[in-house]
Amino acid sequence: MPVRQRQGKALERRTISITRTEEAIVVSEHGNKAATVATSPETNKPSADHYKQQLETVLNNATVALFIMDEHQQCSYMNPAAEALTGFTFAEVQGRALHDMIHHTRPDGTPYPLEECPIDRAFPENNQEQGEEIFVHKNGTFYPVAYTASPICEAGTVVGTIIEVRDIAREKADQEAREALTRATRQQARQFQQLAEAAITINSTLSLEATLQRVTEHARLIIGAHQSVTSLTTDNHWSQAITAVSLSDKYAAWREYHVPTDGSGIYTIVCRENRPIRMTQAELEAHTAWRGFGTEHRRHPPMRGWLAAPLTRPDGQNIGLIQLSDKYSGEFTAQDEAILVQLAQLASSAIEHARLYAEARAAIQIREQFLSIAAHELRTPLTSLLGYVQLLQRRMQRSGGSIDQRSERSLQQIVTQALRLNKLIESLLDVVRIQSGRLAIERQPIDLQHLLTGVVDELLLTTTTHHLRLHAPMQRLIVDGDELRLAQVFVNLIQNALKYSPHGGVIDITITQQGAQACVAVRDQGIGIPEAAIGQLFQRFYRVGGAPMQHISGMGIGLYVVKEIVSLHGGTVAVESVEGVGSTFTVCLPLPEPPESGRA
Amino acid sequence: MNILIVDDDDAIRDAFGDILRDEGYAVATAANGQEALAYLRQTSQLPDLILLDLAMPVMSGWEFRAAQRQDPVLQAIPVVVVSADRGAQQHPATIDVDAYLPKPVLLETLLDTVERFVV
Repeated sequence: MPVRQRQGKALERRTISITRTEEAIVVSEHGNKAATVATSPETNKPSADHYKQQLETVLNNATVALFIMDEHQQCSYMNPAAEALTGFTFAEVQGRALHDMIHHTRPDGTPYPLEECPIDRAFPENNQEQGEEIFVHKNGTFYPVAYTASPICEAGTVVGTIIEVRDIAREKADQEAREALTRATRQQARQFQQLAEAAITINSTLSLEATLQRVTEHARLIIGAHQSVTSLTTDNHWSQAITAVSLSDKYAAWREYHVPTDGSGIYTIVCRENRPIRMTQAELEAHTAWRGFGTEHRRHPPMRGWLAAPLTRPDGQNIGLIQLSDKYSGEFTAQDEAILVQLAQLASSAIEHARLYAEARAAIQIREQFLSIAAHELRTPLTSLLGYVQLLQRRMQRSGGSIDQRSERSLQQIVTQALRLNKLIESLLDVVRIQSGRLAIERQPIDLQHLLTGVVDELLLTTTTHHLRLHAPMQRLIVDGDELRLAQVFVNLIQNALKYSPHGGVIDITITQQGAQACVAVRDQGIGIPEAAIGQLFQRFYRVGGAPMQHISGMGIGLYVVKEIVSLHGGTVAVESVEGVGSTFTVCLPLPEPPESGRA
Repeated sequence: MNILIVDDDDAIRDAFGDILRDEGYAVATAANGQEALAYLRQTSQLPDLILLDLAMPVMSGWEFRAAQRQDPVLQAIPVVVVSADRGAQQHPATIDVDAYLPKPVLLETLLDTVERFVV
């Protein structure tokens, strides 16, 4: 495409009549055109001949091709550089329209009419023309040039054109090389960016199938190929391999194809040797075993060039491969291979994560199942145990008179312990329910004072050494909550207060309103909690160590369940404690929002 | 006053049986739903109450309940589920029984419940 610049009207310029005289050109030994200088011996000043000679020297040695066109637009001069450039001698073009000799055809083979040529417009329009064009050499080849066509004016009349032409083939080639390099660099930068993005998306799923599909698609899009297949073996068995396929629209017809990779042939090498393989289409076709892959196979789409990288476990064991075929343009490069190896490593670690996650989930599920079954199985003997003991108690009461007091206490102990065992089973099941999100909260309005009065009355029966005091505000505080579960929370907290103040003392239970929350504080004067333990207090199965705690039994479930139940109610539980002084646990629950038309 | 105890655990059948007999009830037992149905279809004296366990081999409590409700002769007998399965307590509607007692059950609770149905 020609580039043209218009640079205003041509200047009135001094014109020189030039005739080419071969005699003025001396050919040096090396083939270079050297100049001869004529001087006048008398005056030692340059003569008119001398100027003419100098001018010829300049013209003959200039590297720029120069043409002069006369008022008929016919060539009246061309310098040696112009001859070298065009392939024509001056004699061949003299008196002829230059355009018809060197600019007659466009590179696409279509004719270039003179009327459309900007160079030849300089004369009629009396305007300097500049730009780039493609000329035709005498031998028929095309070459790019930069030109300037300037009208020659004599006394205000345009009498011809001087045309300067420079070969810009090398500049063009350099520019193209630079552009290609820039494109390649940009492509590389884009691929690395895509690789980084792939790392994020690939690692953002923990499902094996989703991981494989993402890897497969990213590999195809980043490297730019029509086919991508990822295969993952299960314990080295190809028969149960998981396969993910990504195909461009070119292979849309094959979208539904599913050929489990059998790990034989071409795949074996990648997997057995755990190394990437890159083959050109020619190499693929030349190989005896893989020749058929190039044509449309009955079972899978045709392969055009091949690039594959192994998937490996952290211990180095092969678990499959990613393969690409039919690059959008050209053959797979070393850089493509480096990128695929990177992707394969990303995929390998993502697959490992997915596998570990699935294993962990399965283990959790098995544990939950085990605990549910164990709880059910434990309750069955407990039921008959409790039944028989209570039957005995009843019979002894009925027999009247001869009741052995110690025996009756012993039987009551069996009942108490059986019920305690049942409570422990319940607690374990609560943990399972919380873990699996099956702890349901059934909300209804709960009067905290009423609830706590019941809890305190019940627990008072269990101690003779402690004094339980309930402090409640005049105004009743009503929360939305699950009555049984909230009772469980306060029973747990008060039982803890009893348990961890082994020498008795006062336990204060205080209900207060704090802003939009109702809070219940349970304060004891017990052994307290070491500061270091406070952060872990609400963790499942956590038990505070140390001498004061040694003789106090427990599973480390109570406070965990308290925290979870309170959280399900949208509330918080906090603890303050000083060792040797006592602890205060405070549960805060949100109060229902008052109606819009409230006091304000 | 007749009571049928359906439970696969023989210790529980014995314990509940002894407790109820001590109180003067006539007690029959079955180890699963199928045995219970067989007993009910051949007995001349239908029970006034059935104590039903849920998780049992051969025929579960749920299956027994479904069969009982299809049977015009048996469907009127009240059923109290006594189970270690807490799922049924959360969804009593799925089995539609007259009462539910979680295992282990206190003797007084058991007797109070039985009395409600057997007057």
